[in-house]
Amino acid sequence: MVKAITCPSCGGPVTVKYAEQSLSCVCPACLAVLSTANESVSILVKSQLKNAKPIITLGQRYNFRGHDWDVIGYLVRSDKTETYKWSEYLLFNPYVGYRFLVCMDGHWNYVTKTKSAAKVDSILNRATYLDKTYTLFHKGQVKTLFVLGEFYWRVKANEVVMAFDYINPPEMLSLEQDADEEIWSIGEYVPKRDVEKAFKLVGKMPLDLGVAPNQPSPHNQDKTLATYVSSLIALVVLVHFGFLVAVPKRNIFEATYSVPLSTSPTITTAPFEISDKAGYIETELFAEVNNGWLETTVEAVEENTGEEYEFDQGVEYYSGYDSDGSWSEGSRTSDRRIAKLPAGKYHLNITTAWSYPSPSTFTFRVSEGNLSWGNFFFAFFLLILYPIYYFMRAKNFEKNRWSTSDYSPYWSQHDD
Amino acid sequence: MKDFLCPQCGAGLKFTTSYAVSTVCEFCQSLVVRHDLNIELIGKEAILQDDLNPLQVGTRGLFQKTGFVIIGGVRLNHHEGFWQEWFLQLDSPMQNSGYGWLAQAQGEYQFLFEPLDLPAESASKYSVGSTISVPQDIRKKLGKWSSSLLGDSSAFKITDMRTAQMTHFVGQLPWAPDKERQRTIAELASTEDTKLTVEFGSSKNQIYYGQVLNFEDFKFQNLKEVKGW
Repeated sequence: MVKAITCPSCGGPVTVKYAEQSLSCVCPACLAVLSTANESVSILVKSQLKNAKPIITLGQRYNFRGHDWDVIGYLVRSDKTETYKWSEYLLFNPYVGYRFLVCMDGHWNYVTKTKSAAKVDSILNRATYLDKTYTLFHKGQVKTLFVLGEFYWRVKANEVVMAFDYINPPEMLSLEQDADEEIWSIGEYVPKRDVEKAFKLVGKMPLDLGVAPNQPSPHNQDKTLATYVSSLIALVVLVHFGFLVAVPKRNIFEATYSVPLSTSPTITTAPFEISDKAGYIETELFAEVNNGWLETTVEAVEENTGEEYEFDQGVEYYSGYDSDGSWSEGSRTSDRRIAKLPAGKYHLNITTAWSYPSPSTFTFRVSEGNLSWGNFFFAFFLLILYPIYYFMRAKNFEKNRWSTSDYSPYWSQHDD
Repeated sequence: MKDFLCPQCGAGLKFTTSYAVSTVCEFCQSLVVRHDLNIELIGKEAILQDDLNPLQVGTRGLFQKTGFVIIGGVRLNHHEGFWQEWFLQLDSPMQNSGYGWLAQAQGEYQFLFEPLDLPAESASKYSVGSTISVPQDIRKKLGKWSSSLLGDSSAFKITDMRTAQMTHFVGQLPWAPDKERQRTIAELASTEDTKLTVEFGSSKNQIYYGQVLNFEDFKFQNLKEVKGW
C-alpha cells in the first residue's frame, strides 16, 4: 500500500511505497529522516549531509539470485573514524523478505539474516554457524552516516553499533550488537559481473580495490592442479625409492692394475656376468693422477657371441697454487653410464694412454642395477615448480586479504 | 462442535478446533469469545490493511510433512516495529502439540509448537545477553524435539527483548484477545535447528520452540495475491 505523507520538516510530499512494512523513510527533498510507524509522522533526524549517491536506482525492481527485489533503501556506513565508508542497499520482496546488497571498495556482498545466532569462541576468535567455522577478521564500531529511501526499522543517523566480521570465503558472518539486540547475518561474496548484470550497472561499477575479506581466492581453481601435481611427485618419489629397494646396486667386477709403460699391451680382465636386471650399468675408473691424465679405451666382449661394445673413459686432475691460494681441477675418479648391455658373460680389453709421469695403478669397477638420480631429480624439480608457484601466489593473496585485519595470521602484516 | 451465531449480526461463527476460544465474525468483524455454553461479544475489529502480506486465514502449509492451515492471527506492535503471529490448526498433532503458531517478521517465518510452561519470573530480571533459566524437566521435553538443546545453555541466551501490544485480530485464537495487555517477548540465541522465544506472563512464562524456515520451505497454498508482485 503506497502512502503519501507530508514531510513535517519541509512540507514537501513524501511517498512511502511499502507503508505497512516501513517504519522510517527519508524525505527526498530535505533529506530529513521520518518515522512513519504511527499515524502521525515524526522527525527522527532533522537533516543529513548528502555525502554519497546510490548507483542502483531506488524504487526499481531487479531479479537477483532467483527472486524479484525492489531496491527500497540506501545506507552509507563507516567505521568509527569515518575514514572507511561503504554502501548498503536494502532489497525487499513481500514473500521472501529483506536482503542487503553491500558494496565495499568495489566488492559486493549479498547479505541475509541468519536463522539463529552463531556460536562464538572468544578465545580462538572464531564463530560457528551451520557446521561452518568462521575466523574473526574485524571488530569495531559501525556508524550510519547517510540514508535514503525507506526501511523496516527506525533508522537513526549517526547510530553506532558494535560489529564483528568473521570470514570463511566466500562467506562472511557478521554480528551487529547494541544494547537492545544482537543481529547475526551472513553475506556471500558476489562477483561484480553478477551485480553489474542483475542491477543493470554497465559503466557505473566502482573499481574494485585490493582483496575483500571474504573474496574467494582466484587460486582456488589452481589448487586442484597443484594437488594433482603434488600427488604425482609423491608417486615419482615412491616409484624411485621402491625401485631402489627392489633393485639394489651390485658390483659385478672390480680390479686394480699396474699401468703398462706403453700403450700396448692391452689388459684383458677376468670374465664377469651381466644379468638382465633392471637399471643401467656403470663403469668407474680411478687412477692416482697428479697434474696429468689417464685415458682408457675399453672393449667389452661378450664371450659367447663375440659381440663387442667399445667406449672411452679417462681421468685428469690438476692442482697448484696461485695468488688466490690453492686450486684444483678435474677428478681422479670418473663414472660412465652405459646403456643396458645384453645379459651374458663378458670380459674387458683395456688399452691405456697417459701423460708423463704415469700413475702406477688404476682401478676399474663395473656395477649393475644403478638408478638414474639425475632423471629423478629432473622430474622432481620440474614437477615441484608448479605447487611452489601455486603456494606462493595463494599465500600472497591470503596475505593481501589479511593485510587490513587486526587478526591476521601472517606476522608480516606489520612490514607493510 | 456446537454451532454459535454471531450475537451482533446472526451469521454463523467459525470455531473449527477445540483449541479456539475466540473468533472474529467474518461478516461484521465482531470479536466474540466462547464460554462453555454461551458466547460473549467483546468488541469490534478494524480490518487490518495488510496488502503486502501473502499469508491469510485459509493459507495452507507444510511443516515436516504435517499439513496445517492458518485459522487466525494477531498483529503485535512494539516501538521498533511489528510482527504477525498466525494460529495454526494442524492436520495431525506433532510433538504433543494440538496446534501451532507461525510467527512472521520482516520476511522471517518461524513455525512454533504449543508452548511449554516455565516458572513465573519477572521480565525485569532479564536483559539482552542474560540467559533464561530452564528447569531440567522442561529442558528434557525440549531435548526430545532437538538433542542440540540438552547440554547447551548458550541457546537460552537472550538476543532481543521487547514489549509489544496486540493491535489487530483476525479469525480464531486460543485465548480471549486483550488489546490492553502488554506482552514481553524475549528472543533467544537458539540453535541451528531450533528457534526459541520466551513470553513473560503474570502467572507463568512460556517458552515457544520450533524452527525458522524459508518461505519456499512451507510450500504455501492459497496465498493472498500481493498486488504488483
